[in-house]
Amino acid sequence: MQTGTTLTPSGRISLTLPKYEESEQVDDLSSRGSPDIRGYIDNVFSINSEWRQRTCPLVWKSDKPWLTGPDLRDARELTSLLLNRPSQVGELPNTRRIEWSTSCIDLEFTDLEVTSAFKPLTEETAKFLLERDLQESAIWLQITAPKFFEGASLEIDLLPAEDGEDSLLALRVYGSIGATEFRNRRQALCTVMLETGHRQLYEVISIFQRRVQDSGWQMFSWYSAVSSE
Amino acid sequence: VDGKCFLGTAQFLQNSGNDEAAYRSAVSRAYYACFLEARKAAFSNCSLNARTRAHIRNERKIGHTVLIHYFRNSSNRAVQSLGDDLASLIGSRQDADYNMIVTITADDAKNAIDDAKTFLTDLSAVPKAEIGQAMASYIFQTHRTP
Repeated sequence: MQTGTTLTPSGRISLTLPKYEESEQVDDLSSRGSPDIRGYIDNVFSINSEWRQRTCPLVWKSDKPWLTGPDLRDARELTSLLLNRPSQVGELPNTRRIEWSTSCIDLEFTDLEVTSAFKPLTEETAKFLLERDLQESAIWLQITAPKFFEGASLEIDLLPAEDGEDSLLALRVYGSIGATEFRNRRQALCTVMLETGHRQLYEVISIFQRRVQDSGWQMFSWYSAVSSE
Repeated sequence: VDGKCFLGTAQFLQNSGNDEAAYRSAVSRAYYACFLEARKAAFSNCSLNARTRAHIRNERKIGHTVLIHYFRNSSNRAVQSLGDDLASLIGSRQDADYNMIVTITADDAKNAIDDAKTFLTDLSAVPKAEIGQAMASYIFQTHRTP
């Protein structure tokens, strides 16, 4: 049961959504009967676990022993929904949006961790995203960019603004892709960014490659903890 | 001196030996070669009416990020791509000039120079009127009638 996005030859993003059963798409979660996904979400969000939107794209902290088997499948689907279709979460009744918070910087990763190749955001960068209402676009970028720069470590970082200039957001790609190939991939990513409605992000993003990353962090593999179940 | 001269300076710096400060300066000069040429193309092809609206009396009134906005605002894909290239180059340049945490290597300098060469080649190939139109269009979208 894998979730992800793939780049088609035309440069468009194709979402691969997980299935609860072979024929059931994640979009149908809201209408599922038993187990009642709405109640389930209530439990997950309000009682049993902590959800934190930090840097990530998503970190789910839970050390609850009940989170096994079918529950884990539901959790994974919900995770996927949040990752791929965050705007739909608000449409599910009795749920609340995950908080975009920088306050959980010390959150310990426990049983489940869904993360990406991204280095954590700085508070300054998170503030910039919040002020411009770019949270969902940042999540989108964190999901999408690794598909364009497969294997690379990535970083979203606020660049220093010079006097009288607007701030720009860097997407640093730590890799060794050739200049022409990197440019092609960058252009494809920009095209998809515009086609999927992230124009505001497009207007402030600067995507470039660095050969050497600074020390102190490691790339996490995509869905490592979940897929190791 | 015109902007393209800085590309030669960037190449000189890149080949000056194992010196990160030189690599950083090469990245910076590569960007400026592109910025200055792009700014000249935008200013000289934008209508006087639009420039007046934005109080742009000379090239120096055009800033770094707004120049990227002009190009990215174009309906011409080639011009828009130049804006993406310029955005990439300026980000790399800001790292090179201000971010002492990251390491800038000889390959980073070479990449920046290769990117700048591609940018200048592409800039010379696109219809200049499209660049002027993109700048004017952006100004009319963002500046109210005086």
